[in-house]
Amino acid sequence: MFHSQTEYRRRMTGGVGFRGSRDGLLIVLDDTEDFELVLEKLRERLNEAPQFFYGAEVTVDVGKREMSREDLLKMRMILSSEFGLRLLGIIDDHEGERSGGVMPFTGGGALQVNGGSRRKGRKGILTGETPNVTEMIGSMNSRKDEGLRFKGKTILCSGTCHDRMKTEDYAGGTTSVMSPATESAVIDGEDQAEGFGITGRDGFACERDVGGEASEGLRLRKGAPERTQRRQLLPKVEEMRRTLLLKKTLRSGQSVRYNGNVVVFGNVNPGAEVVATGDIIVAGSLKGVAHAGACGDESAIIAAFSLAPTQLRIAGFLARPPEAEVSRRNAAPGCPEMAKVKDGLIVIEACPGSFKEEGKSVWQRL
Amino acid sequence: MAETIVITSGKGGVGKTTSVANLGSALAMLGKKVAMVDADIGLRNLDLVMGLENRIVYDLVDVAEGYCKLRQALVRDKRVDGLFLLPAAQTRDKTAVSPDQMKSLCDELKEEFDYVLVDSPAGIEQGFRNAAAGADRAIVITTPELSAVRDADRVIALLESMEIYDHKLLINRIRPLMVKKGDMLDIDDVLEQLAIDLIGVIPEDEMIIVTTNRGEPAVLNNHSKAGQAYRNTARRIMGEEVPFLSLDVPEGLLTRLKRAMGFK
Ligand SMILES: Nc1ncnc2c1ncn2[C@@H]1O[C@H](COP(=O)(O)OP(=O)(O)O)[C@@H](O)[C@H]1O
Ligand SMILES: [Mg+2]
Repeated sequence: MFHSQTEYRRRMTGGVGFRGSRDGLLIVLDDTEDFELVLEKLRERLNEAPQFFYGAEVTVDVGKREMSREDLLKMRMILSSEFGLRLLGIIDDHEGERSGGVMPFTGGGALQVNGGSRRKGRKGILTGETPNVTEMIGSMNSRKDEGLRFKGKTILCSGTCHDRMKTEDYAGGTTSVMSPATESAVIDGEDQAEGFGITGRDGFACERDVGGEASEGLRLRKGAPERTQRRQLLPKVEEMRRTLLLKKTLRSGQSVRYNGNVVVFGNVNPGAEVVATGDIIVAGSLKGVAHAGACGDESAIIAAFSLAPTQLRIAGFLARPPEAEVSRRNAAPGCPEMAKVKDGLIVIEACPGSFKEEGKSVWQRL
Repeated sequence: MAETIVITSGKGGVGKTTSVANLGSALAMLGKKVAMVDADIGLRNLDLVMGLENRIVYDLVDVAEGYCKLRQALVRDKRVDGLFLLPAAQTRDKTAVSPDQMKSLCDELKEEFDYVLVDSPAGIEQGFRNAAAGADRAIVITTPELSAVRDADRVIALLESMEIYDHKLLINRIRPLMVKKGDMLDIDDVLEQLAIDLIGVIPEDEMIIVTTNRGEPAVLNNHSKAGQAYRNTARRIMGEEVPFLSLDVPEGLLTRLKRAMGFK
């Protein structure tokens, strides 16, 4: 099947290839180019449809590349922390002792890539017995161990925001601990100086670019038909979303971008923005801009104790409060309300369980 | 014959944003097509002063980065026809655009507008250079205070080093009574220091604060003295000769002013 691995890898677009299989997704990485470049390409490709990849189970084929501990960490961080993929294992293609290995990655569940038979072309496929590598990964998993910390890849911020926060707002803070993709990440004010690991828009390519994204996702889906089948067994994307709990007030100029839901325990001031692929809940007053379902999920909602935003965006819908309501909303804290898309319009209604019985209001389309 | 005019000062808080909003509105009310560009990235507030904050979808940085088309980012003013705002990004900083990008952006705007007014950040750093990069002319704003005048002087030198020689002075927040009592620099003092042509004198006016908080420029208000002064300034920008308003100050000043301006 892969008699010439090198050739096969080279043929792949930009050094990163995706293949659907019964075990989930196989990502094949170029093994000749500089690893940093390969990772950058990987990130680019994943960014084409972050929502599609979120929660997917992947195995990575690194070919002949000697992976250092550092390399593994970096790769893992992109896969699980940035994009919420579940890394089942890594396949390599080394000659000799550790030739062709599949390394277990997830904490408890040792990898079951019974792919030995399927990946026939490979020499000596192992199922995670490679001691060195296993040990290495083991220590990566235990986060208590030697203070191994993942910089909080959960908040994706635009580049300059990152700089601002670092120099002005959070100088002297400490590194935040990244939770595994399946848990929720909790980051509070002091804990995030280096929490903005990603600079530039690339961390979140789908931002505002609604509509186009869905078709990208479809394109990829087509390339991996088996994947679609398997997906039905998994919980729906919305249910699997990670949630970022932010215990702080977001001030003018600050921006939080997150692939998942965002809960702000504090206010979102005018001039601040929250962009999430899932829902946004503000336990405080929302006066800035909120964009839920940023990758095109029209079922996303935005809720706040006091909903007085400059503007609301859900998927590709944009709305601002009617002029007459602006001052009233800014003045009175009101009751918890939520915004959602209904028949192509953003409507505001009372939160479920709230006492408010008033009718719905439809906000002005932009 | 479109023009890009950068509105700048050295010192902050002297009225750049207020002036862009008012001059932009005034020029548009005089029938010109005007684009106001907020180049104060990271500290945008031209949109607030214009009451357009909640209509912003894309901003200047999005355009510069090719993230959207210029047309998509322009916000149409809700009151005055032919007036548009290109908002600054709030969550980025000044380094997010380069002078080259600014220049090509202004040039693109000039194809469609008669006037492109650029609001610039305070200071003489990169943000100022970016804002001025695409400018054909400059209006330097100062208040009648020594420090503001000194900073204006500095800015004029910088503009000249950027080969912007067409620069005029706008003195803002003049308080005739204080000038009269000799407690404030008068227009002559300022002009003498800066040796630069005057394009407008705007009185201190409470209406500015009132209208700014409402998100509407003072020129829309017929009772505002500052609004009147801005309207006159706009006509001077268009090349008309408009006498300076009498600011209830002694005769002498007006005549001296005229002399300074070269009117007999
Ligand atoms: N002519 C004026 N009379 C009264 N207040 C003024 C006048 N011009 C400006 N202001 C006030 O001064 C403050 C700073 O003005 P602004 O235009 O924001 O300055 P800049 O953009 O140069 O920082 C604002 O609060 C504005 O309302
Ligand atoms: Mg300003």
